[in-house]
Amino acid sequence: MPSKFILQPQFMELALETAEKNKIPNAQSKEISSQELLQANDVEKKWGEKITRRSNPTSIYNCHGLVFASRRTGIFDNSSVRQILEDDKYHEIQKEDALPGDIVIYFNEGDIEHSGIVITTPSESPLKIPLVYSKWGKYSEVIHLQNHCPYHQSEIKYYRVVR
Amino acid sequence: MIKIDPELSKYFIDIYVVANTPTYLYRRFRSQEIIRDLANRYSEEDLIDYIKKIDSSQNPSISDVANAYAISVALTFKNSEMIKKLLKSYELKKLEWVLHIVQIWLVTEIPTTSSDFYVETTRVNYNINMSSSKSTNTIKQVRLKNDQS
Repeated sequence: MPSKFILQPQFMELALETAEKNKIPNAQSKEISSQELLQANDVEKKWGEKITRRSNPTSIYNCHGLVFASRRTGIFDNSSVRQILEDDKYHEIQKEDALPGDIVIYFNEGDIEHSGIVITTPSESPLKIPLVYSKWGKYSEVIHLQNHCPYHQSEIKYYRVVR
Repeated sequence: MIKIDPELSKYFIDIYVVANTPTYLYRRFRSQEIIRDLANRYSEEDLIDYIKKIDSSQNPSISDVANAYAISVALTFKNSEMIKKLLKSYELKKLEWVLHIVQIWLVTEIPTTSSDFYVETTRVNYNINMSSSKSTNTIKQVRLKNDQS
Protein backbone atom coordinates (compact mmCIF):
# COMPACT_ATOMS: atom_id res chain seq x y z
CA MET A 1 0.00 0.00 0.00
CA PRO A 2 1.63 3.25 -1.06
CA SER A 3 1.82 5.97 1.57
CA LYS A 4 0.98 9.55 0.82
CA PHE A 5 2.15 12.66 2.53
CA ILE A 6 -0.29 15.46 1.93
CA LEU A 7 0.01 18.54 4.04
CA GLN A 8 -2.73 20.82 5.17
CA PRO A 9 -3.67 23.28 2.43
CA GLN A 10 -1.98 26.27 4.07
CA PHE A 11 1.45 24.74 3.54
CA MET A 12 3.19 25.54 0.28
CA GLU A 13 3.68 22.69 -2.15
CA LEU A 14 5.63 22.96 -5.43
CA ALA A 15 4.97 21.10 -8.66
CA LEU A 16 7.48 18.27 -8.37
CA GLU A 17 7.59 15.15 -10.52
CA THR A 18 9.85 12.20 -11.13
CA ALA A 19 11.38 11.51 -14.55
CA GLU A 20 8.31 9.36 -15.20
CA LYS A 21 5.97 12.25 -14.36
CA ASN A 22 4.75 10.81 -11.07
CA LYS A 23 3.88 13.59 -8.64
CA ILE A 24 5.98 13.92 -5.53
CA PRO A 25 4.19 15.41 -2.49
CA ASN A 26 6.37 18.06 -0.89
CA ALA A 27 6.23 21.16 1.27
CA GLN A 28 8.29 24.18 2.13
CA SER A 29 8.18 24.18 5.88
CA LYS A 30 7.76 27.53 7.57
CA GLU A 31 7.19 26.12 11.00
CA ILE A 32 10.21 27.76 12.57
CA SER A 33 12.31 30.76 11.58
CA SER A 34 15.99 30.51 10.67
CA GLN A 35 16.68 32.84 13.58
CA GLU A 36 15.08 30.43 16.01
CA LEU A 37 16.96 27.53 14.42
CA LEU A 38 20.22 29.28 15.26
CA GLN A 39 19.33 28.66 18.92
CA ALA A 40 19.90 24.96 18.33
CA ASN A 41 23.55 25.30 19.25
CA ASP A 42 23.65 21.97 21.08
CA VAL A 43 23.87 20.31 17.68
CA GLU A 44 27.07 22.29 17.11
CA LYS A 45 28.36 21.29 20.52
CA LYS A 46 27.60 17.64 19.98
CA TRP A 47 28.87 17.31 16.43
CA GLY A 48 30.87 20.49 15.88
CA GLU A 49 34.34 18.98 15.77
CA LYS A 50 33.32 16.21 13.43
CA ILE A 51 31.41 18.20 10.87
CA THR A 52 31.65 21.25 8.65
CA ARG A 53 28.50 23.33 8.48
CA ARG A 54 28.07 24.67 4.98
CA SER A 55 24.87 26.71 5.19
CA ASN A 56 22.65 28.54 7.61
CA PRO A 57 19.82 26.55 9.17
CA THR A 58 16.57 26.59 7.22
CA SER A 59 13.35 24.63 7.38
CA ILE A 60 12.49 25.21 3.70
CA TYR A 61 14.02 21.91 2.56
CA ASN A 62 15.16 18.70 4.21
CA CYS A 63 17.74 16.07 3.25
CA HIS A 64 15.58 14.59 0.49
CA GLY A 65 14.83 18.10 -0.74
CA LEU A 66 18.56 18.74 -1.04
CA VAL A 67 19.29 15.46 -2.81
CA PHE A 68 16.22 15.19 -5.05
CA ALA A 69 14.65 18.66 -5.33
CA SER A 70 17.52 21.13 -5.66
CA ARG A 71 16.99 22.66 -2.20
CA ARG A 72 13.59 24.06 -3.18
CA THR A 73 11.31 22.09 -0.89
CA GLY A 74 11.06 19.19 1.54
CA ILE A 75 10.10 15.59 0.75
CA PHE A 76 8.85 13.74 3.78
CA ASP A 77 7.69 10.24 3.08
CA ASN A 78 9.29 6.94 2.24
CA SER A 79 7.18 6.08 -0.74
CA SER A 80 8.08 9.31 -2.54
CA VAL A 81 11.79 8.67 -2.16
CA ARG A 82 11.34 5.10 -3.35
CA GLN A 83 9.34 6.38 -6.32
CA ILE A 84 12.14 8.80 -7.22
CA LEU A 85 14.79 6.07 -6.94
CA GLU A 86 12.79 3.88 -9.29
CA ASP A 87 11.59 6.44 -11.82
CA ASP A 88 14.88 8.33 -12.00
CA LYS A 89 16.82 5.10 -12.58
CA TYR A 90 18.90 5.01 -9.43
CA HIS A 91 20.71 1.69 -9.07
CA GLU A 92 22.28 0.44 -5.90
CA ILE A 93 26.08 0.26 -5.98
CA GLN A 94 28.64 -1.13 -3.58
CA LYS A 95 30.08 1.30 -1.05
CA GLU A 96 33.64 0.73 -2.31
CA ASP A 97 32.54 1.76 -5.81
CA ALA A 98 30.96 5.04 -4.66
CA LEU A 99 32.14 8.18 -6.43
CA PRO A 100 31.48 11.87 -5.79
CA GLY A 101 27.93 12.63 -6.90
CA ASP A 102 26.49 9.25 -5.94
CA ILE A 103 23.89 9.31 -3.22
CA VAL A 104 23.73 7.59 0.13
CA ILE A 105 20.52 6.56 1.89
CA TYR A 106 20.15 5.70 5.58
CA PHE A 107 17.46 3.14 6.36
CA ASN A 108 16.00 2.33 9.76
CA GLU A 109 13.94 -0.86 9.79
CA GLY A 110 12.85 -0.21 6.24
CA ASP A 111 12.06 3.47 6.68
CA ILE A 112 14.18 6.00 4.85
CA GLU A 113 15.57 8.21 7.57
CA HIS A 114 18.14 10.30 5.75
CA SER A 115 19.87 10.89 2.41
CA GLY A 116 23.02 12.67 1.28
CA ILE A 117 25.48 13.15 -1.57
CA VAL A 118 28.90 11.50 -1.67
CA ILE A 119 31.78 13.94 -2.08
CA THR A 120 34.86 11.75 -1.66
CA THR A 121 35.54 8.14 -2.57
CA PRO A 122 35.80 5.68 0.32
CA SER A 123 39.37 4.87 -0.72
CA GLU A 124 40.46 8.43 0.15
CA SER A 125 39.83 7.77 3.84
CA PRO A 126 41.96 5.46 6.02
CA LEU A 127 38.80 3.81 7.33
CA LYS A 128 37.27 3.62 3.84
CA ILE A 129 34.40 5.87 4.85
CA PRO A 130 33.34 8.50 2.33
CA LEU A 131 32.63 12.12 3.10
CA VAL A 132 29.05 13.09 2.48
CA TYR A 133 27.15 16.33 2.42
CA SER A 134 23.61 16.31 3.55
CA LYS A 135 20.94 18.43 5.18
CA TRP A 136 20.13 17.58 8.78
CA GLY A 137 16.42 18.15 9.15
CA LYS A 138 15.71 21.82 9.78
CA TYR A 139 19.34 22.42 10.66
CA SER A 140 22.12 23.17 8.17
CA GLU A 141 23.76 21.48 5.26
CA VAL A 142 26.65 19.60 6.74
CA ILE A 143 29.80 17.91 5.42
CA HIS A 144 30.44 14.79 7.46
CA LEU A 145 31.82 11.31 7.35
CA GLN A 146 29.09 8.89 6.40
CA ASN A 147 29.02 7.52 9.95
CA HIS A 148 29.18 10.85 11.79
CA CYS A 149 25.57 11.98 11.87
CA PRO A 150 22.46 11.54 14.03
CA TYR A 151 20.89 8.90 11.79
CA HIS A 152 20.66 5.15 12.04
CA GLN A 153 23.78 3.40 10.77
CA SER A 154 22.54 -0.18 10.52
CA GLU A 155 21.56 -0.12 6.85
CA ILE A 156 23.25 2.31 4.51
CA LYS A 157 22.99 1.98 0.76
CA TYR A 158 24.63 3.83 -2.11
CA TYR A 159 22.94 4.66 -5.40
CA ARG A 160 23.90 6.02 -8.80
CA VAL A 161 21.73 7.06 -11.73
CA VAL A 162 22.27 4.59 -14.57
CA ARG A 163 20.47 5.32 -17.82
CA MET B 1 -0.54 23.46 33.14
CA ILE B 2 2.39 21.58 31.66
CA LYS B 3 5.85 22.82 32.60
CA ILE B 4 8.87 21.41 30.83
CA ASP B 5 12.31 21.73 32.33
CA PRO B 6 14.64 23.83 30.12
CA GLU B 7 17.26 21.06 30.14
CA LEU B 8 14.68 18.61 28.88
CA SER B 9 13.66 21.12 26.25
CA LYS B 10 17.24 21.23 24.99
CA TYR B 11 17.14 17.50 24.58
CA PHE B 12 13.87 17.73 22.65
CA ILE B 13 15.37 20.45 20.43
CA ASP B 14 18.30 18.15 19.60
CA ILE B 15 15.88 15.57 18.25
CA TYR B 16 13.48 17.99 16.59
CA VAL B 17 16.05 20.04 14.73
CA VAL B 18 17.66 17.13 12.86
CA ALA B 19 14.40 15.29 12.07
CA ASN B 20 13.96 14.96 8.33
CA THR B 21 10.59 13.27 8.57
CA PRO B 22 7.69 12.88 11.02
CA THR B 23 8.51 9.18 11.20
CA TYR B 24 11.99 9.96 12.56
CA LEU B 25 10.52 12.31 15.14
CA TYR B 26 7.93 9.74 16.18
CA ARG B 27 10.44 6.91 16.51
CA ARG B 28 13.02 8.95 18.41
CA PHE B 29 10.60 10.50 20.87
CA ARG B 30 8.57 7.35 21.40
CA SER B 31 11.64 5.38 22.40
CA GLN B 32 12.34 7.81 25.28
CA GLU B 33 11.11 6.95 28.76
CA ILE B 34 10.59 10.62 29.51
CA ILE B 35 7.86 10.80 26.87
CA ARG B 36 5.96 8.00 28.54
CA ASP B 37 6.41 9.85 31.84
CA LEU B 38 4.81 12.95 30.34
CA ALA B 39 1.90 10.81 29.19
CA ASN B 40 1.50 9.37 32.68
CA ARG B 41 1.74 12.71 34.40
CA TYR B 42 -0.76 14.67 32.33
CA SER B 43 -4.27 14.13 31.00
CA GLU B 44 -5.24 13.99 27.34
CA GLU B 45 -6.80 17.45 27.72
CA ASP B 46 -3.63 18.91 29.25
CA LEU B 47 -1.48 17.53 26.45
CA ILE B 48 -3.76 18.75 23.70
CA ASP B 49 -4.20 22.17 25.32
CA TYR B 50 -0.41 22.55 25.33
CA ILE B 51 -0.18 21.67 21.63
CA LYS B 52 -3.01 24.08 20.78
CA LYS B 53 -1.39 26.86 22.77
CA ILE B 54 1.92 26.54 20.91
CA ASP B 55 0.16 26.04 17.60
CA SER B 56 -1.78 29.26 17.98
CA SER B 57 1.13 31.42 19.12
CA GLN B 58 2.45 33.91 16.58
CA ASN B 59 6.18 33.20 16.76
CA PRO B 60 6.83 30.12 18.86
CA SER B 61 10.38 29.58 20.04
CA ILE B 62 12.29 26.51 18.98
CA SER B 63 11.88 25.05 22.47
CA ASP B 64 8.11 25.63 22.32
CA VAL B 65 7.90 23.77 19.02
CA ALA B 66 10.18 20.93 20.11
CA ASN B 67 8.22 20.57 23.35
CA ALA B 68 4.95 20.49 21.43
CA TYR B 69 6.22 17.61 19.29
CA ALA B 70 7.40 15.72 22.35
CA ILE B 71 3.91 16.23 23.81
CA SER B 72 2.38 15.05 20.51
CA VAL B 73 4.24 11.79 20.84
CA ALA B 74 3.18 11.55 24.50
CA LEU B 75 -0.39 11.59 23.16
CA THR B 76 0.34 8.29 21.48
CA PHE B 77 0.48 6.59 24.89
CA LYS B 78 -3.06 7.75 25.60
CA ASN B 79 -6.50 6.55 24.70
CA SER B 80 -6.84 6.90 20.95
CA GLU B 81 -10.61 7.44 20.96
CA MET B 82 -10.22 10.35 23.34
CA ILE B 83 -7.43 11.88 21.21
CA LYS B 84 -9.51 11.55 18.06
CA LYS B 85 -12.38 13.31 19.81
CA LEU B 86 -10.20 16.12 21.10
CA LEU B 87 -8.46 16.72 17.76
CA LYS B 88 -11.57 16.33 15.65
CA SER B 89 -12.69 19.92 15.55
CA TYR B 90 -9.30 21.60 15.76
CA GLU B 91 -7.42 22.80 12.69
CA LEU B 92 -3.67 23.00 13.26
CA LYS B 93 -2.12 26.18 11.93
CA LYS B 94 1.55 26.08 12.74
CA LEU B 95 2.70 22.63 13.81
CA GLU B 96 3.00 20.79 10.53
CA TRP B 97 3.69 17.25 11.72
CA VAL B 98 1.36 16.77 14.68
CA LEU B 99 -1.37 15.11 12.64
CA HIS B 100 1.19 12.98 10.84
CA ILE B 101 2.52 11.77 14.16
CA VAL B 102 -0.97 10.90 15.34
CA GLN B 103 -1.60 9.22 12.01
CA ILE B 104 1.57 7.13 12.23
CA TRP B 105 0.41 5.99 15.65
CA LEU B 106 -3.12 5.20 14.49
CA VAL B 107 -2.02 3.11 11.53
CA THR B 108 0.35 1.10 13.68
CA GLU B 109 -1.79 0.58 16.77
CA ILE B 110 -4.01 -2.44 17.24
CA PRO B 111 -7.41 -1.40 15.93
CA THR B 112 -9.89 -1.18 18.78
CA THR B 113 -12.73 0.16 16.74
CA SER B 114 -13.87 0.19 13.16
CA SER B 115 -14.65 3.91 13.24
CA ASP B 116 -12.59 6.26 11.13
CA PHE B 117 -10.63 9.24 12.35
CA TYR B 118 -12.02 12.52 11.11
CA VAL B 119 -10.23 15.79 11.56
CA GLU B 120 -10.23 18.94 9.56
CA THR B 121 -7.27 18.36 7.31
CA THR B 122 -6.37 16.61 4.13
CA ARG B 123 -5.84 12.90 4.04
CA VAL B 124 -2.59 11.35 5.12
CA ASN B 125 -1.85 7.67 4.71
CA TYR B 126 1.17 6.03 6.18
CA ASN B 127 2.76 2.71 5.57
CA ILE B 128 5.72 2.44 7.85
CA ASN B 129 7.58 -0.46 9.24
CA MET B 130 7.25 -0.30 13.00
CA SER B 131 8.44 -3.83 13.50
CA SER B 132 10.27 -2.90 16.66
CA SER B 133 7.02 -2.14 18.43
CA LYS B 134 4.09 -3.92 16.87
CA SER B 135 5.14 -6.06 13.96
CA THR B 136 1.99 -8.09 13.70
CA ASN B 137 -0.47 -5.25 13.58
CA THR B 138 -2.69 -4.89 10.61
CA ILE B 139 -2.27 -1.53 9.00
CA LYS B 140 -5.65 -0.02 8.47
CA GLN B 141 -6.42 2.89 6.26
CA VAL B 142 -7.58 5.82 8.29
CA ARG B 143 -9.65 8.52 6.77
CA LEU B 144 -9.08 12.07 7.74
CA LYS B 145 -10.92 15.13 6.55
CA ASN B 146 -14.60 15.89 7.00
CA ASP B 147 -15.53 13.04 4.78
CA GLN B 148 -19.11 12.20 5.59
CA SER B 149 -19.28 9.03 3.54
